[in-house]
Amino acid sequence: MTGLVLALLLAATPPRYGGALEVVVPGEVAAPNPAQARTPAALTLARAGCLPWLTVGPGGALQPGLIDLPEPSGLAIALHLRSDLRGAGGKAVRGSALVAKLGALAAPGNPYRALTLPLRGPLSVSSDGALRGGLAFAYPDWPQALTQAATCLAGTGAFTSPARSGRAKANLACPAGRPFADTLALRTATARNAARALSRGEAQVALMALPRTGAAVTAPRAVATYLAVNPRRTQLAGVAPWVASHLDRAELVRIFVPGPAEPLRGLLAPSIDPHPESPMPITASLPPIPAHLTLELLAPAGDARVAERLQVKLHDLGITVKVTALSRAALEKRVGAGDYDAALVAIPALPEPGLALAQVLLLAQPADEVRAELAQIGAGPDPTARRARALSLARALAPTLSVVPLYAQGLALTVTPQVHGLRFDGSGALLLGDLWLEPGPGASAP
Amino acid sequence: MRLRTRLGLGFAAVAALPLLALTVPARRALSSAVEEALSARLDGAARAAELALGSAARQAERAASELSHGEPLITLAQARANGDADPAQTAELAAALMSGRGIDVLELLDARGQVLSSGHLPGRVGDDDPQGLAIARAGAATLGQVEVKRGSGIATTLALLAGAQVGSGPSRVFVLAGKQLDPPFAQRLAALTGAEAQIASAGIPTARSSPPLSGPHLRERVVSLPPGKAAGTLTLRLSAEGLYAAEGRLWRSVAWLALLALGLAALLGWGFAARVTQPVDALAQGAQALARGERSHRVQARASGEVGELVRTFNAMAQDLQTTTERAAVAERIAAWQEVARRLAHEIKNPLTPIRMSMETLQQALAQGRADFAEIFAESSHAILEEVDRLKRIIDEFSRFARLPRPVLETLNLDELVDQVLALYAGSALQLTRASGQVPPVRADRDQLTQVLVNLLQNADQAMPSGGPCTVTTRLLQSGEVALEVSDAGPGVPKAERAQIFEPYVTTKPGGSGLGLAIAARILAEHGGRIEVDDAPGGGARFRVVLPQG
Repeated sequence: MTGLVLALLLAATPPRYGGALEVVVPGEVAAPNPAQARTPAALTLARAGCLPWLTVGPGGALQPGLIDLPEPSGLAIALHLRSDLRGAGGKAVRGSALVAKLGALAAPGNPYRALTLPLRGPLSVSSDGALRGGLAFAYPDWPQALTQAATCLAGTGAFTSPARSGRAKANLACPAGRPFADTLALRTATARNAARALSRGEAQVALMALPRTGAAVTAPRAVATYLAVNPRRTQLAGVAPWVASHLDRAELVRIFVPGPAEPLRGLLAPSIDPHPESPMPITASLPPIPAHLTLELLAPAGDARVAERLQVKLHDLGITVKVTALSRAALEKRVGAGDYDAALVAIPALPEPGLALAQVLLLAQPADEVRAELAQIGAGPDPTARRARALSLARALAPTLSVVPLYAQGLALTVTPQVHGLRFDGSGALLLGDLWLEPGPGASAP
Repeated sequence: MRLRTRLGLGFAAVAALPLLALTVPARRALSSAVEEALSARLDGAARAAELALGSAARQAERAASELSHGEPLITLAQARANGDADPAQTAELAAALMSGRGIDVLELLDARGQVLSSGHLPGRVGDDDPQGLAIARAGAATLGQVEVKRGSGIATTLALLAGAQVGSGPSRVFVLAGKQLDPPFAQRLAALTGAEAQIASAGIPTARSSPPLSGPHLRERVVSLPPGKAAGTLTLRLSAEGLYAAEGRLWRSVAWLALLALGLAALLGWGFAARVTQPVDALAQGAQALARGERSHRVQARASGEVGELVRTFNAMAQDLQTTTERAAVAERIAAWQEVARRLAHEIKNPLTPIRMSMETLQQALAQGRADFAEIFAESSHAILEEVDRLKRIIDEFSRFARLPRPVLETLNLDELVDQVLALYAGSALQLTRASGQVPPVRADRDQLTQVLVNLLQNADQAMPSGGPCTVTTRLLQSGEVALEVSDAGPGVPKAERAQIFEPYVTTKPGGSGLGLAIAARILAEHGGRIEVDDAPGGGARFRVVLPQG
């Protein structure tokens, strides 16, 4: 539906370069490290200043990003940096920076670790500048995952890094082409001030839902949040099934989750599996909950309300829950180390079903088991079969895991009618460089 | 017990008894005062707590009323009526409205009792709260239970709750505002009342201001919380430890003061008694001195009244006694010397008769022209010379007795002295036996003590003209004195004569001078010792010389 609307809009009006794109954001205006972005808004801001290894074209086809499109070569990997690749200030981008970037994602607890599971080992930079390595098993769809914003390299995106004033200039050397807008102006505002700014033409885009102001856009629900219960703590074995069967996810989303969100009906985010065949099956007999069970629930500060709701529902089940608010980095570190009882984990889904499933499975299974399941998926004869295998595996494994899918979030977005070129990448991030403005009172002349 | 001691103790008793008599009633009075003070404090604390509870209830009612008339909830009710209320935004409303109103419980409910928003437990939104709805419908402040977040989970606590309604119809909103009776509230009550505050629901503590007090002196007052959907009590507890500790300190101080007073009284009594009894003591000491023969001793005590008269009388009596004693001594000395002169004259007179007879024989022989005159002359002159020698001997010994020098005392080993003297008699007829030995040294004049021993051995020799056993023994007496005993196997000394044999010119031996034992007795008297005689164990006489240790 969104694609159709966008196509009609694009067909109606030719794109126009120039102008300043004024964007109102609810939090900080600085572009975060894309590998550490866990919300659609953070991914959008990160994606504005960087380019992933590969991109997705309007038709869904892979396009070169930081690297050229790879040629199929069995288990061997040979990735070539684009010849015209330049970073911020025109500096050449080295292959070692990309290798380091990929290596950082392999840390335990990092939700993008699944991206590195098919690899036999770390990539290396050959003498010709190519990134070379190998796959541990056949996984033909691995390059699709390289479109994830987490693989971005700073300074290569559509816009330069925003200054202290929040203004970023168009990066004319961007390998994907310069953005339509000359300037990206970011500023922080409350919902009320953002609505006022959009209605007065002082801003064209707000990364927040503003009812009755501008046009609310339905963004892909690509960031999924799960309740992960530590599988190594056997006394907590009954918690996940009980939560899965007793928690009203629709109510949770309706009342406790800010921004556009929807309940997760399966293990995978709707951006990957938008229409699960049936609601997630629940085991008929629930395991008993030990008396006087106490657990610590780790939660990111932004998910405090969801954590409180879980605390109340678990309290009703007779479980004492202590909520500990942590930064996402600290939370992922503890989860990666296995030092947790339960945690609210947000995962920006990789845009490939098998690897997206692996992201979830890593919360409940050892990496070797996940690799074995990825190998089954990768053995499919064609993309359709591999996707079907991944989705069926996700449905089959869901009741057995100590992971409760809760909800998926998309970017909260409001735009004025003069904004065109709305497009999202596979991470659910809005591509700010693709936006262009109709001439109007709020847009500056080119 | 001396009079001075008795008087001192008496004074102390006089000082202590009133204190002791006062202690018991004073202690009872003080304990009673402490209990009354505690009771008064608890009464005040209970009144203050009731005021605080009433204030909290009014605060809840005021907050509910104000909120029900405020724009946010009226807008919410309208939005619900219009069907465009955002559940997520509504869920966050209560937390925003709660601040600045002095309440820590705020819940918004719909007409069915479903929680639309909760400021104290946001996670409860979407669930039903029938009890909260009932209280909110009732309006007036009442006691209820609410769930709240605690550090390690969710807890149920008592709260004073009041309600109000916003709007009408199915979309109306109920406001439930209140004040938690939680540990911070209990701490505020404790700060207000100065007592430990414990809030309990159905007997089970739900909040307390501090860890429970302990100790034997706890006093408490139970205040009933306002009636409502839950039953609760507020217990105010005070510890009287401090007061009783202060009382203890007070009584310890009193005890020390009493002891001090007792000591001072005893000291003063002793001093006063000393002043009073000093002349009596002096009289007692004077009497003892007189008994010891110190005739010149006089009582030097300042006294007046009857005691002064007694002192003066005592001194006069002592003076009379001294005078009489001196006169008696002079008379006794005269008598003694008269006796000595009589005996000396008797001794001297004995040789004079043979001399006279010899001279008369010579005169007759010369007048008769006796042919054997030469022979008679020789016999008579020989007899005369013998008697003259005898006279000389008597005079020499008397002279020695009369001019006995003062002893030069030195530390002597008596055993060694005895052995040396006995060595001189090694060839005599006496069969000497040395017994015992190893006595402590004595202070004595070596020559005079040698003379005593020689005199005793000569006596033994003379008592056994044809020789016989003589035993010389040294021993340490139980009295601590050192004894030297000379025992012989002679005829012994008749008991009737034993009292006189140490007097001059008393002898039981033919030809004895009668001065040997007298000299020995005088020497020992000069040494602070004495000489005694009794029967030897095997018959004969045993003389015992007793000397003090050196």
